[in-house]
Amino acid sequence: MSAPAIRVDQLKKSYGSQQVLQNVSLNIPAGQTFALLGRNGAGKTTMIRILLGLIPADSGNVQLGGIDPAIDPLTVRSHVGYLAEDQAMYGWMTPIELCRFLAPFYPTWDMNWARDYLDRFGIPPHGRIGRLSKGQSVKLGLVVALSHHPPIVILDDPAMGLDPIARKEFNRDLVEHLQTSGCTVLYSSHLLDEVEAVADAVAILDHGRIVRTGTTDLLRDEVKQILLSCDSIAGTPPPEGLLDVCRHEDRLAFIIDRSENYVGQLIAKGIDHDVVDLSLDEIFEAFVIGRTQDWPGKPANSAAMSP
Amino acid sequence: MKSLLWKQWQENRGYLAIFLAWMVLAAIYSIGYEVGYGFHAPVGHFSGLSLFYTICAAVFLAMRAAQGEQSAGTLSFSASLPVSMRRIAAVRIGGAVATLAIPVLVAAAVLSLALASGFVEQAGPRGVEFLPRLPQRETASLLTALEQLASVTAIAIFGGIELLLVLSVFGCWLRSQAQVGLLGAVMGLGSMIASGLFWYGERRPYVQLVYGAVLPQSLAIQWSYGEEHGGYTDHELAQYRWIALGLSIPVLLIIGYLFVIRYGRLKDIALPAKPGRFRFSTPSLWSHIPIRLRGRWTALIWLELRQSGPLVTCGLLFALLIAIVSVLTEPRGNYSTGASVLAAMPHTISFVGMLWATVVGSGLYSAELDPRLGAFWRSRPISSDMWFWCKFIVGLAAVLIVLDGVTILASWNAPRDSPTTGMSWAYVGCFPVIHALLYALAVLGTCWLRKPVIGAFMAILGFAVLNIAITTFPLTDHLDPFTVYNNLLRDERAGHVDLTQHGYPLVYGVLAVSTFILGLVSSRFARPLERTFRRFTLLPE
Repeated sequence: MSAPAIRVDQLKKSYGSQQVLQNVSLNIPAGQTFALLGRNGAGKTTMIRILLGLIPADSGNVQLGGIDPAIDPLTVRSHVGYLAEDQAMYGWMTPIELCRFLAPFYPTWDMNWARDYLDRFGIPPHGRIGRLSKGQSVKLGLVVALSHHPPIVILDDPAMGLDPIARKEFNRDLVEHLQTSGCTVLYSSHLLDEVEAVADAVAILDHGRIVRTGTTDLLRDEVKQILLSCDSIAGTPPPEGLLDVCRHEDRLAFIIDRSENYVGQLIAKGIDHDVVDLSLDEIFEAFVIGRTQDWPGKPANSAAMSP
Repeated sequence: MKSLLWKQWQENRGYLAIFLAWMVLAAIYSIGYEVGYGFHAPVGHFSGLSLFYTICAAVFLAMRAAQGEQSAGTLSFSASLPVSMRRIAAVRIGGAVATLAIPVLVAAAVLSLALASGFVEQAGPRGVEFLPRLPQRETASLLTALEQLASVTAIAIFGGIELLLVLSVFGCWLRSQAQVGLLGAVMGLGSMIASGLFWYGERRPYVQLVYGAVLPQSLAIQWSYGEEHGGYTDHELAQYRWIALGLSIPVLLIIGYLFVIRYGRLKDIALPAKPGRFRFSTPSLWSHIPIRLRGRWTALIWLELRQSGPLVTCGLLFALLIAIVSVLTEPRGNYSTGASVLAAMPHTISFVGMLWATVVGSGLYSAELDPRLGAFWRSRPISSDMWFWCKFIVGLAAVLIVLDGVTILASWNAPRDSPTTGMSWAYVGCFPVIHALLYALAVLGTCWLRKPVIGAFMAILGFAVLNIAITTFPLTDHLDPFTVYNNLLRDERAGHVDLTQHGYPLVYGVLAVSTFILGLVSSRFARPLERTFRRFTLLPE
């Protein structure tokens, strides 16, 4: 396996007494589209700013393409295409002027490519940026993030603030580009539907910690919802990897990570159950807002089976 | 209603405390200066300081009154409350008026105590024929002195309130606090010019009465004189000032009502522009010129020129407009209008340049220190220092070349028949340095506080405090930059040009070095995505 394009090792960052990142570690292989999932305030933007060398980490190591952004931030930034959430550009410039302005900063800047994408995205090259629609602004941000053919692209909640149709359109354009470019993409978002279409792998960041990482297929395979009757498992201890529990009268619906083993035990004990596949959205929800207090306790006068 | 008043009090009390401190210190300074120099001019001194305060406070409070809720994003919340927007507007503007007026009243009370106790004395009112200079005039009775003080206090308050109200009304149409601040700076300076309109030549009391009802500041004028040690501000008051002030009350009420009406409709204005709704923008001519920028420095210089060029050009045009107005309203010698305008330009640009240097300094940095543009900018492969210093130097060069350089070239051969007309070597040696210092102060204020208008205010205030500190003590009074300039100019007009005299190398050397040091300090604060003050910047998630 080749060296990771992005490597994060034991990263820590605090603002005063508030710990924003706690021992975060990640390895993103070259060519992968990696989604960093987290709620607002989870620490995604802080992590990205450290990756770009914009702010220093308290401790830990970061490397992009083998370069430490804390040591050589300018080289890192010249190799990275970055699109921030709610990013603004000079409103008085026109898109073509912005491209001309940015060209000298990147030796690999491809003006023809930029023009081509401005045209493809329907961005007027000579219109003031301040007069562009929100969707056009985000797409322009994508154009300038990609026009120097960066081997690594970092997108920090790029479609935030767009309406659902504009988001879908943006993601369609993004997928179209990513399929042909072969670059490594770190895509931070809290909108799962947009990530699901593009991501090869995800990491879930919650309160500054990575709580789960893996490929999207692996997550879907391993995290399942199980439906069964409450009585059948009453009094048993909560299984390992339990993420969320929901009771509906005598029925129990719970989500469990690495479910294969537990499902095997249910089968072995002959407990009737249903296994439900989950979307990435539901998996993310279980990790960050799942509650396990509703796991059934031992009933007063029953002899329940124990898996 | 009680809740609205409580909210307004909570929002304004901090500023009220700052403004109170400002004006009480101004009163103490007026008293102290009078005690130190004995010109018998505390009321004139206080009048000048009050005028400066009311303009600054009016601009600042109008920004908050008209745009505060839009900037904070609380407008829709306010609109959803079970109270009319007009009532909210009335409380907002009422709070602003009280915040502006109370400090002046308190400061006037402090000065009146000093007058009443005989601690300081005021000379008698200035006549139209002002041959006896103020130090030679008789001391006024206490009653006369207090009436003079009451007059200048009322004029300053009414003038400030009018500026506040007019700015607030226009501010409702604008899009940001910074735009209100810029408009306020222009209107504040414009009102200072306009208030002198009927003070030159023969006095016309009835014209002043009517004009004063519309523009209360015009009911008083400051005449400043420099003596060998120190200087003083003599004031002159319009004859029917109290009638004019009485007539101005309905004018103020009408403008206040306009604000209430306008603010009541602000919810609609706050909506984003829809297709078909007119928004002015200049044609993007530069975009069609296929310029190829070779190298990072070229690209950065191009960017900064595109940003600073229009700003400084506006400043030059503004100064030109003021010079034209002053030529048309003040009697000049037997020169053509063009020659008179060119002769007036150095004096005009000297003070417009001070204001505009702060506008350029704060305007250039404010946008890129905003996290949204900062995120775009800081992710580019360019070091913070390169970005900062390129911006700093290009902006400074634009100020010095466009404002001072053009004026020096254009006015060099213009008539020089009074201290306020024509170009001089003293100007060349002094004012570019002062403008550079104010530019650097504004950059520092903006980078530190991340608020362009407050940053510009801090620059002007900082410079004013520096001057006050120097002129307070007879020992250092001669080191006041303006005193040095005046002394150099006086020598030059007498036929001696020597920039090594009157402490010029020391004073202006210190100012030049300070400009560089201020830039250096600013560069430490100019990190768009990093915090300076916890209060002023947002944490990333």
